[in-house]
Amino acid sequence: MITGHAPVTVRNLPFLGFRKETATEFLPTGLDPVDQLLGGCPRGQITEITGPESSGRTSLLHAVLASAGARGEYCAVVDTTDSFDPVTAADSGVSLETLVWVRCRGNLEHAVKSADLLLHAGGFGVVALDLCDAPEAAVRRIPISWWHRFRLAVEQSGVVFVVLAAGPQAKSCAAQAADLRAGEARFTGRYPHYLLAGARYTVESRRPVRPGQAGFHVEASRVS
Amino acid sequence: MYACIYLPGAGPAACERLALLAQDFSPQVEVAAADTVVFDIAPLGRLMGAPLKIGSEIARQAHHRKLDGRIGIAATPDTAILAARNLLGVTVVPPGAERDILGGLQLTALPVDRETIGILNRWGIRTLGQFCELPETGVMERLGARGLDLLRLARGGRVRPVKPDRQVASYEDRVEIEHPVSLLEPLMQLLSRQVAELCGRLSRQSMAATELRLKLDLVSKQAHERILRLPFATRDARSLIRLLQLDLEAHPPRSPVLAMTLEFVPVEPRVVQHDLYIPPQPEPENLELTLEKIRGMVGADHAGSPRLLDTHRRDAWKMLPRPPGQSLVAGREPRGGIQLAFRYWRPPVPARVEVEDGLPRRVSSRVVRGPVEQAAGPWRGSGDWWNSLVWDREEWDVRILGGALYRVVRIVPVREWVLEGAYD
Repeated sequence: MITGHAPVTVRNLPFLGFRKETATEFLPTGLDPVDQLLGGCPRGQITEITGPESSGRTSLLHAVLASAGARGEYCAVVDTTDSFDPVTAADSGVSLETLVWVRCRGNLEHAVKSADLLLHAGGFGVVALDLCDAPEAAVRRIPISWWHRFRLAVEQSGVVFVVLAAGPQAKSCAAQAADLRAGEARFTGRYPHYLLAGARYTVESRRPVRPGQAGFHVEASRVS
Repeated sequence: MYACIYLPGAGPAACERLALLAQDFSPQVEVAAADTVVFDIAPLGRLMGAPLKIGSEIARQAHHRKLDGRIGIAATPDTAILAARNLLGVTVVPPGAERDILGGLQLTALPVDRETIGILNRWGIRTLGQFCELPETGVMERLGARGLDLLRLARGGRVRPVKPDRQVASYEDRVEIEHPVSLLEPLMQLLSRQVAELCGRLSRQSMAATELRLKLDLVSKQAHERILRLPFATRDARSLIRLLQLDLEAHPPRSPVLAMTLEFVPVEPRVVQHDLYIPPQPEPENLELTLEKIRGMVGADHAGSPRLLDTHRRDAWKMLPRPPGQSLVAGREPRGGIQLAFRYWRPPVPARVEVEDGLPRRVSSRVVRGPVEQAAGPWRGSGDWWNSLVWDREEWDVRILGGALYRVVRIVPVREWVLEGAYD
């Protein structure tokens, strides 16, 4: 007869261990209207930034990287299509001294594996996976299991994992999803001499669904 | 407690072997002379038991290595040396029993000049026991500080730490293989043993490695040499083996391997002061391993940290192997707020641009096509005309009707247009 084990009863069930909800810490983007709408980027969760070309996705990513860099945190950018510009990133305040840049030259598999390695390395404040210019069909073929793997790795490391894409990719694994809309470029000057002065972009929170939208303005580097 | 091994007539080679033998028992090894090593055995008490047991084990190991010498164990290094040099076999001098055990030795056993011995002899003192009976004040008055030092040595009261000689340890290991190895896996098994052995030596000497030099002698009579410079000092065998494996995967030898020599460049280990207010950073070992793995996939120059070059040329940067890190804790603010980000298309996309009245009116390329709604420019730039990187170009920021913001560039020397990327 087996002894020494308490019988499992309904009373014991609450102690079997459901995952406890913990307070989420947010990394502010440094853009006040966006922080008011989204609250920042949640640590230990996936943030998805989506939108068409020239909708401010990369500018928003630079803001997040600059905010983390200002806190002395290490950041990593996995650049699927080799499109990251360190010059405009540095102009936005991104600390290149603590930035790891992985150039995947269009190889989506390398990009996904690199992001996975960086997430599991630990110690990074922000890891960004840039899928913006990758072929949409190829990005959609990333198995959902990879996104679950990313979610688990992010939960354990407490890193801010930002995914940039043209459309939603991380599905239910993204705790926060922000949709950006094509911005309005601002030109100054008179015909025929114009100057690109900046652009204004609009953000909506798709996940969790929040009413309203936020706008943010960025200056063009040529002006400064 | 300290142990001393004295091997009469030992040469430099035997001295090195003596030191290696001593390092198997303690990281604190002092080579007192070419034939004498002394080392700290106090921590071995819990592991091996009484000093006599430790002495017997040292004697057994010495015999195994054909280094049969005399062994002295005492409370101070100098007393242990005195016992080993003047008494046969294994001698244990318990604290307080120095006079009983060493008292019968002649004064010549002490490291003392003939003149002092002559003075002591004239006083009727011929043994250490007799010398120990003298009062300290009297010896000080007549023989000075040197005499007092000798008296303390004779009494077993001269306390000093051992002075480890780190130059003794060799961090080089060579393995010759009977049959040539052509696969990486068996080669790594042999290398792992070498790395573990060398890391053990580093650990015993409280040192770490910052550079690995691997030399593989190949069947083709050539040598395949690799040097791994680490951004951090470490003696973690697992990390070093992995780094070596990744390097050999990226740069394999061209023919089977006959022998391999591995050398570590030793440095002082890094000391990390943790601070509650410093944000977490990747462990240097982890970061290096991760970047090496990524480089193995994407290429050697495609993972690292960008460093901007001091030039007006566009897209001018170089890739550092790893982020150099910044010392400040926090507080660096973005310069003038967030700027309009640019996304490069590398390489740029050839385009056909229709120009009217000096302004681009229509852009056609394989990725973007349409009338230009608004254009700003041109921004003319040129430079590096004194070298092969010469550049001369006109840039336009254009908004395609109903589309996005792009940068089109006219390469002046060849009069061709390209789409360089998009503002995002």
